[in-house]
Amino acid sequence: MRKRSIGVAAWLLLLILSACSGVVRGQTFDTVKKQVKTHTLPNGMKFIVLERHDAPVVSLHTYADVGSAQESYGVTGISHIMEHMAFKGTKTVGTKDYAEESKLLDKMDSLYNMLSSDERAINPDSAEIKNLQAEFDSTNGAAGKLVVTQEYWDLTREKGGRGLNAYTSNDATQYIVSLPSNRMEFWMAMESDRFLNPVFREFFQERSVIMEERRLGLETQPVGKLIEEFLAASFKAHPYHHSVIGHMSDLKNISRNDVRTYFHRYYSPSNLTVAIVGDVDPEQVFKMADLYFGRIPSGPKPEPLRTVEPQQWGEKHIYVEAQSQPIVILGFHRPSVTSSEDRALDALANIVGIGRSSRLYTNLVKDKKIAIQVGAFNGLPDNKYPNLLAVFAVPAKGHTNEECIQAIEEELARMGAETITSDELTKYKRATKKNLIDGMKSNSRMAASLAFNDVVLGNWEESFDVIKSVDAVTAADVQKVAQKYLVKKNRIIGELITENE
Amino acid sequence: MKRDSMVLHCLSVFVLLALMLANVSFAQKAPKDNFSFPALHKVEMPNVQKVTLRNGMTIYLVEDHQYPTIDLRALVKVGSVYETDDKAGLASITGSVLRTGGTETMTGDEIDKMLETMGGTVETGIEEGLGYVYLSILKEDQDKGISVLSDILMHPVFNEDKIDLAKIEMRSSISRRNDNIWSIASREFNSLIYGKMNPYARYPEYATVDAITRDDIAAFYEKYFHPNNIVFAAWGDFNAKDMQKKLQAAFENWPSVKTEYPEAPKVDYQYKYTVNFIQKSDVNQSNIQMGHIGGLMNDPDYPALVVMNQILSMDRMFKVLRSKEGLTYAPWGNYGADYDHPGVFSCGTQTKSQSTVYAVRLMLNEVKRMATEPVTDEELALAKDSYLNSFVFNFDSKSKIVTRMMTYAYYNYPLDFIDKLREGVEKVTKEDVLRAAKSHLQPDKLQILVVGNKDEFGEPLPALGDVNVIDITIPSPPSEASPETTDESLSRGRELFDKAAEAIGGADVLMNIRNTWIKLDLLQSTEAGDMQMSGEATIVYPDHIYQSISTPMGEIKMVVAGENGWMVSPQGRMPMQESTRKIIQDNISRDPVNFFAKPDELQIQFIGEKPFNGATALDLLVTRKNGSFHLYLDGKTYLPAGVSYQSTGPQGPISVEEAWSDYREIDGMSIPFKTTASANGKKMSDVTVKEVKHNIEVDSKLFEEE
Repeated sequence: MRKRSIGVAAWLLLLILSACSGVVRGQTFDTVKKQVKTHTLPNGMKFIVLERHDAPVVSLHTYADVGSAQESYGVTGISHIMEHMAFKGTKTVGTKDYAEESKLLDKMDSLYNMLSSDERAINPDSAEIKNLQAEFDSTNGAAGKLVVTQEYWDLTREKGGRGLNAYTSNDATQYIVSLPSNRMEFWMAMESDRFLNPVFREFFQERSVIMEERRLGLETQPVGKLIEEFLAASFKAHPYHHSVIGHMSDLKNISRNDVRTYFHRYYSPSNLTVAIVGDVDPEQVFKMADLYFGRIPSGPKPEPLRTVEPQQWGEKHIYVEAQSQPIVILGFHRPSVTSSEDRALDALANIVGIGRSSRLYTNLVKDKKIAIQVGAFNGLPDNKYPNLLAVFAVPAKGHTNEECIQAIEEELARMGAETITSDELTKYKRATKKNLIDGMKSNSRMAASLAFNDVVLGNWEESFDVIKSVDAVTAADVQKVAQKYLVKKNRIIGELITENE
Repeated sequence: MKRDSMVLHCLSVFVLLALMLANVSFAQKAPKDNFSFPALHKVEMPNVQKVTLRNGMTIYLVEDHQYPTIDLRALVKVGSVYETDDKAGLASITGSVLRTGGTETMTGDEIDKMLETMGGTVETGIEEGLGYVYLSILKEDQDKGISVLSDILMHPVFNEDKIDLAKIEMRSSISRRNDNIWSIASREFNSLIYGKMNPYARYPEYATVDAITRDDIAAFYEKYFHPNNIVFAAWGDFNAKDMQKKLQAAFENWPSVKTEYPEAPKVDYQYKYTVNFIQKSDVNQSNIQMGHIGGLMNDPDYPALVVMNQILSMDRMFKVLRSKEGLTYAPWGNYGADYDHPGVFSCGTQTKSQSTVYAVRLMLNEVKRMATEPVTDEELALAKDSYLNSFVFNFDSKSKIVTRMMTYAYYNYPLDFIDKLREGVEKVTKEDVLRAAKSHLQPDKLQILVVGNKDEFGEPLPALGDVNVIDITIPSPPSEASPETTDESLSRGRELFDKAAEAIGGADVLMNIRNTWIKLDLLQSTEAGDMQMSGEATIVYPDHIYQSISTPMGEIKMVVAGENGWMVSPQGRMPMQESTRKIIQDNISRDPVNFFAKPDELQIQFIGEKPFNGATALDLLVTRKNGSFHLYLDGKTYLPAGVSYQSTGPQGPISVEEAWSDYREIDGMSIPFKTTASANGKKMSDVTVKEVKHNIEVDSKLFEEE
């Protein structure tokens, strides 16, 4: 195909080839879909593999169906702590002498329990506390000497791993890495060991790291503060109420034992799904998966979350004061991503708030010049349970949240009062198609999509079939959801307002 | 034992053996076992074609038929380094309005709609050292996409309305630049390293944004946007020859023009140890950065520095500050190198206020260790393995390969630079790392910046050395066109004005003040340095003032009595220039006693909330016979926080801002004992009141012309 001087025959060949590829291109989604194979182990763990050999690399994505939505009072933030602990190694990784280390870790646990109960006493015995603390510190120090710091990371670095990381959200905890594709077996050994033989070492240091992470991402960020208050006000019953990072008081008190219990409850193989995309042979992957992950004993699938966010009885309006210029966010309760209305809501957000030709950008930024940034999106804070369609505006200098709220209200009212134009509907469909195709180019984005769709929507095929439901959205669908959800009673307004020093 | 059971036994032994053998070939390995990895599949290097058009435009093309999309990206040799200090922001605004401002045939809004209805994107922008353009579009719309892209590049019209919009965005960003501790630290650290006005650190201010005109934008575009200054990369579902023809057709009539580039900015770094601090009272975590100037990517030591960076960040900063000490979430250490100018060597972290100084010490120690001790064999092997084993990710997509070529071509780097770098890294030894660290790091001469809340620090910052406090107050904008008055803004203005009058003492008190005598200290900033003076003044309302100031040149008296004015210096007496008299007269009219006493002669308009002197104030536009000024009220107490107005300086018009503070009550009136004045954002003077008296016996001779 790389001919420079093109003879007649080559021309013909080229024409035929490009004609063929034209046919293939028309079915990009189905073509890629055919390359996907799945395999479920007897213990319930599922593997989804998309085979493609464009480059000798592979992206690996382990999706644990547990997030901060599974947390109750007292242990907020524990899903994320668990995520951090999953990088601390195993009985063989990260230790110089596990037998000795495990004794010290057990001792620390009991000292920690004594300390906690002593500190909670009505009349704390300060001398006793001091002694216990000293013993705890020296045990921690001794245990630290047996640790091989960050060995988990280093083994992956050494193998050429890229993007080793993990993310915890309200809905899920996801562990990701990309490797040169011939290192597949190393990942099998590492990742299965991680969930078979985890050791929660350096726990107390890591808890401090997470407190710093809370300060970094939330407490020193005006917008972080706004979102925390906004979600707390929006969800009165459902655990989307609290932030993923958790409350500081919980972070200070969660114990190793809490994490162990949480791990056993939510990290059984039936609650884990792995998506693998890249230069691999699915059959070989499945064989290795049997061998390595088959070792993990099965456990019960966790009970589904019981609490459902009840109806909101009236509009809520909250303010966060910070040394910052103003920002405003509006939220509207909407059903979960599994709802049949999801596509129409997706179209609604796109037409209202995505792009330079969107209604909000045209009105607030281009015409009125009262905002410098506006947007709309679904899935705040996450998708699996009923969530929010959110609209935000960053007022231009000299303009206020109030002006922006008023202009947003006008635009949203129009969405219910009139039908959208056919150009707007086309814009939504084409932009979504383009985004889906661009997403397919990336191994890691594709792995994330397959895992998400399989776990949350119950079928990975949706990564490709979604284009059909996008194409099926009508103007009437969009108007209907606008009328249903964009109403004042269903709304929460959050404002960041300037606090003087 | 029966025979058949023997057979069975033998069979089962065989089965067992077979099973064991199977297990050997499929044996589980533990993470730390030795793996015998199969050979890595070969990277299929794409055939990248280079085309140079007659007008000098360079294009790199690569076919990628996997997905039905087309991507074009270009780098334009331009950058904010080529704008001038007084118009900082020009490059960025030009880059933005190039896209939004439309072309001779389509408005920007029409382009937005057309592209978005196709699911396509065209964006342009100008950054520090480059301009960029990109198009990303579904294959079927490629012709429309290319025509819009070329139209924007060749025939932009820089519509005024979109220039306004870009300026609003920029002013808004300026107003928001101190909202976030991380952005403060990054910006100010960069200023410490390059120098505040160096083009590699400079940032726009309200005044520089206001100074930018459409002509400036058009001229900036005209100077740099020529095909011979542009290098393109194209990839996607096309036939390379076809795409070449399309681009040729789109751009070949664009004439080349030789550009005279200004001299590249100079980076003249003086190594020194400094401790710098910015107070942020609403945070519980400090943001710390430290470092000095960095280097260039084509430095022969660069491969060793790449290895050193991994070790410094991952094996030292991360392990010590995060894993072992639990002090921080994201520490780093990186010797920064750029293509065409020295980068920045920086280490940074964030930690709770209490552990700020402790964390700084740990980081200083790690830099020192790096530059004095050899790394371990394990560290070296790990860093090299990590780099070499993940090298394949530099080639995992055609877009990466072709855009890297474009970037190298743009900076005149060899196109195989990355392969040479790999060869270099392969050869790096422990000695190389130490030698490179020794020659590129100066651990005793680091500049340290802490942004945080010093009230919560465990060990105080001065423990690290003399602390230089950086003022990040945003200089106020020069006079802004006032918004139109409305009944609402006038009645609100009047209401707030009355509250302010009440706050400083009430109408009754103010009406009864006939004169004021003040003794004061004055610190005047001049070109030659600060000048300390003291003096006194007697104001007889409404329009008489007698001022006497002791200066290093002797005592100077300045008197304004209504329409007359004169000065007395050691050289003798002279009439006052009319312009000077007017400035002084104007000043007296802004004395609260004067303007609060006659509210009926004023128009007072509420403008809005506005940051003033580090807080949010209520901005009132006060208009009287001889012009208007802004009066800023404290949002809680309604006491005047200061004024701003246009005045005249030795070099022409200036915007003056006076911040009033340290209110004390004298004779029932609240009086600011401290006034800090700035002109065009630069500090001008500090006035500290020592004593105030009201309604004194005024010697009438003071105001008599002899």
